Amino acid sequence: MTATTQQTDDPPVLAAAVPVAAAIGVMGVVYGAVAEPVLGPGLTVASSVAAFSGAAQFAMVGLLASGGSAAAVLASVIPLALRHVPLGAILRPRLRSGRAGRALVSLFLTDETVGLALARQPPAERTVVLSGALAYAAWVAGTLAGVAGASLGAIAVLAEAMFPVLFIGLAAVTTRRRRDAVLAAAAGTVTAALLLVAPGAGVLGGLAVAIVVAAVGGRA
Amino acid sequence: MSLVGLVVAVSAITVGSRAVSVAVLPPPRGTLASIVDRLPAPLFAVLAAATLLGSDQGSSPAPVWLAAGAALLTVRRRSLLLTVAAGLAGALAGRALA
Repeated sequence: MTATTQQTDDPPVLAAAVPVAAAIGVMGVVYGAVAEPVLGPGLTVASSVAAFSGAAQFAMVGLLASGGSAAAVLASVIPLALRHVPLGAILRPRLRSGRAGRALVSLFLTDETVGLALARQPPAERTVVLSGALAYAAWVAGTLAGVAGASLGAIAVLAEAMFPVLFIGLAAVTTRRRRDAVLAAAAGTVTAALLLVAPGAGVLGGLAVAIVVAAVGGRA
Repeated sequence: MSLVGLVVAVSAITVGSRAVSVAVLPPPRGTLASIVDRLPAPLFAVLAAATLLGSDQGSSPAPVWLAAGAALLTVRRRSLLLTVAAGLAGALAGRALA
């Protein structure tokens, strides 16, 4: 990826990161409430502290709650972890740090932090670390609140809405040319069709669609 | 495997995959670099579709669809904050109508 992405706005990191962290915090409350009966309070909080991955943690707890084995959990978590490879490939050209600095940045590598970094001019380190640290704090605090029995009420649906909205915005911000818009529309449409036909395809199926569309799009 | 061991394994897989992708793998070059250059917009469009449709919990509630619709109305402005604000307004409207 070149570092010449043209952006129409370059908002302060925190202004963009706070609503994302708030939504992640609310999802943390949901995770804490759901995981506590399965893992117990201590391990539930520890899992958020150590993994900081909503997708992996919800998959783990969901499978355990439905009687799944440890092998099934690992088999579902590994494909989820594979999405870090393209995310890292997208982010890597926008990083200026050495290996140790990049290792620190990697602690905060999520779909959301990479998107926020792409919405700003490089280098990406500050955006990923600041937005990631905020999201991490919100995720752990939310988990603690969920374990403690916090109730969400109407806020839950707002948090649920935040993620597709955020990704729509990030798709728009990372669209530099008409071709990008066409590729995004194609990838979104094909993924929607795929998930309607085969819901089990999940994020990994969508990831494959995005890579194929990006590869084929270069020949068009 | 104990629950503690499972949480440790899940955390190791997650943190390890992040570290390998950013700190170990080389930056993409050649054909791969050009594919990665085109990847962000399709990737985020895919994530939007996946979070809307879910993988196993079924479709999202109406306020979420309204939020997504409101967000889509703003994409030509290419402003993340504007899109987020429009989406949250859509979700609130959907919540009020529900």
